[in-house]
Amino acid sequence: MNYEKFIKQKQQIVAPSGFSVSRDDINPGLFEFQKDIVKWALKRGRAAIFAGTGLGKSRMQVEWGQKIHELTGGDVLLLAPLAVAAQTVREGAALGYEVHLCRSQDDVKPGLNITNYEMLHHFEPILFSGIVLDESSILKSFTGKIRNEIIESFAFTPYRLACTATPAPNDYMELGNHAEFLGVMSRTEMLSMYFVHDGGRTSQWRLKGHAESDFWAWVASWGVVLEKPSDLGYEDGAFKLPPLNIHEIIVPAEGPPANTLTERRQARKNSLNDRVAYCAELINQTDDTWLIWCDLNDESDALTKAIEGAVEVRGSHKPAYKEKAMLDFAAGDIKRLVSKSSICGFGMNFQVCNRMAFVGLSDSFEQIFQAIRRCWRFGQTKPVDVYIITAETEGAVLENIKRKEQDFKNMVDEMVRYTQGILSESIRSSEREMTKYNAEKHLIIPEWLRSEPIAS
Amino acid sequence: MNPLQVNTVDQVITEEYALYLGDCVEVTKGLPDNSIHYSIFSPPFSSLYTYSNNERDMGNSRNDEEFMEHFRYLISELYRVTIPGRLVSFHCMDIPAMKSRDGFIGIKDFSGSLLRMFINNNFIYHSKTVIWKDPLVEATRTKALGLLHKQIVKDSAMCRQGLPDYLITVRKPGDNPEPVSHPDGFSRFYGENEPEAPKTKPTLKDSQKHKTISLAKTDPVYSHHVWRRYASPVWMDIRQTNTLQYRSAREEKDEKHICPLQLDVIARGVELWSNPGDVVFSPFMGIGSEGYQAVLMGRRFVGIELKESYFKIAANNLKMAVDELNEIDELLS
Repeated sequence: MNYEKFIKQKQQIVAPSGFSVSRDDINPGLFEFQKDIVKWALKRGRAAIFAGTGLGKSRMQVEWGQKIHELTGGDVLLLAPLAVAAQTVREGAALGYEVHLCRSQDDVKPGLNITNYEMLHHFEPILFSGIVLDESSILKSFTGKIRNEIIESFAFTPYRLACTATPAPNDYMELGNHAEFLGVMSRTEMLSMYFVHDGGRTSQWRLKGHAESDFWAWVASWGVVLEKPSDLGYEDGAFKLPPLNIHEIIVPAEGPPANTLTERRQARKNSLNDRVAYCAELINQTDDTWLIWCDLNDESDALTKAIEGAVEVRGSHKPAYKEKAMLDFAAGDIKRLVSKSSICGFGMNFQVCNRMAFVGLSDSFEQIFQAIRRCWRFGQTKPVDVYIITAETEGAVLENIKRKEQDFKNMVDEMVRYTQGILSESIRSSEREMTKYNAEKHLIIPEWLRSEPIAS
Repeated sequence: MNPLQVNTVDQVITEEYALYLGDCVEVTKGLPDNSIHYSIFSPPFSSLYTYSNNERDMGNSRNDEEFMEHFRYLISELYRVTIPGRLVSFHCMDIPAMKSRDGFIGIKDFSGSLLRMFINNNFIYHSKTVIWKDPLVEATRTKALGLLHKQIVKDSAMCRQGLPDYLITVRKPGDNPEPVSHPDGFSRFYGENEPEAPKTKPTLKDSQKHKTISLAKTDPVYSHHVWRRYASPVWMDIRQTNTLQYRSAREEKDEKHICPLQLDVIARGVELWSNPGDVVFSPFMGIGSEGYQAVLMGRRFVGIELKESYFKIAANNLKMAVDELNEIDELLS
């Protein structure tokens, strides 16, 4: 290989490998920005969509999958969290497509097929031409083994799409997971290319100062990041959300204020009855639909007992039960749902509800954020009221979350800022130029630098 | 033979030095065959540090294999431009292997890999010296698990020694057309704790008689002591902080250039392996440490740098070397 070739090969911008589809051929049920993103993702062949909740990831996935099916004639598999699969079937129907809900390879029909992540081992990944991961950030919550299994299973699938909410820009592992799933670059390669590792902890990585702009250019070459349509230069229009009102309720409790994590847990246990009683009273005096989030199993039990018409979904329930309860709640057949954000907090459309209460708070901002987004999302017409009920002794829980939220907003803005310029350009066209080395002057060799008059 | 006509981004050519802003593989292709008397440089240490976001930067490699592949292009050019019988010194260290990147905690034999590449490209393994480094400094900087005292308490099976620097030297085969001679031995010393001995010119010049004089005896003690220190397989006496000031070369977001080559190391290489007036070469010029020292010592210098901000500082530093040299000349005249 000559040197020029080698250098070309070193450039990490992924060449488009998919299909050119005219915008007019994309389902008119999609918004303009959604059409452009689908068009771009088809052009790339393998892409990630990091889009804020409620921006229509399911629709874009279904449309992308449908086009891959039409263009390749092969089957497409969508993997989604539990209950989201059934919801996606409905989304597909709204676009005029049949999405087959499957439990194993035997159920697969030509076209679009969907199952939940837990069923993956009943399928033959090699038989699909396209794969879509819905809520792909779920890769994070699986053990390394399952994560690797998902990545390896589809290593030979020609067309791949991963969709998830915008990760925090410093969540490099998440971006690495996606790059690896898409076959763009392995996570370890990504780390050594763009990151330095300093400090004593082997899990901490920092973007190399030089690599910052290059890193985001690289991410933008295979992933699109947006929080709202205007991030890519479109009108926000229907995506403007109704107000979100967060009410902080501090229940009086005995004991010293918690300082450490352990003390906070203890304070939560001690104040459980008071918090549950407050929540039950608040809810029972209304006829509204409520979503109630807790953190401990004891909270879950107590809440279900105290709240009229409450249905509980907990980790130990069978998947079929969980799925039915979530879908019934989404359809308005259940008026009060008690669960943890780690179980029902992802992917579901609960716009039917505009009131929720957190009786126990998980310390994960992402989970709380996702939980709120079940109701406060595109399609919600009423203001959303969120009650956060904590005990006096728990300390500044809400403040902590608000700080994390602000951090997250800042980081996402940063990420959008980095990628939007590159993206809005590449989403509309498809090629970018990457010339940086501009050597145009002939080399001058000084008089004093001459070959020695000797045979070599 | 005319070398390939190649291009560079920018260049500064004077009587004493030629500095090129460009890709070192490309630019070296443009240098004449057998034109370099001695090379000394510190290459990027695989992907340990990154100096720029250019894919032509060897520090921008996805893995060690890609780095080595990139570096190999340079070695074959280095071989071509080096005068037969003359030397190339490279400064390097071994690289800690990390669990998340390499899958294990340990050390990667980076110095060995580099040396093997030179050998595979027909160079002869000529010498190696270890440059001592304080393990406490390394432990403080890197927090490497194997160097922390608490690890001794926990499980010393994971404890290790600090990582030194190496100056490894290889030789292009063939007869050296111009011997590098030191007829009066060494009259100066680069490093810490200069040997205490009269710097008189040796009166005994007969090598037969030298044989009978032990190093501990009188005449010519100074040069012998210096040589004993330079010839040491471990250099304990390098002034670690004696580096060309680099702070000004950094752009706002640059990573710190944390491994500048100490001027003492360069000076020893230049003194030992080149004659005054010879051409010293560095394909990874950085801010010009090798050039600065070589010019101060009356050599000519050819340097290549990919990063514009470093290149500009190097040009200033080389000019400074010439000015300093002229001042000394004026003082002496």
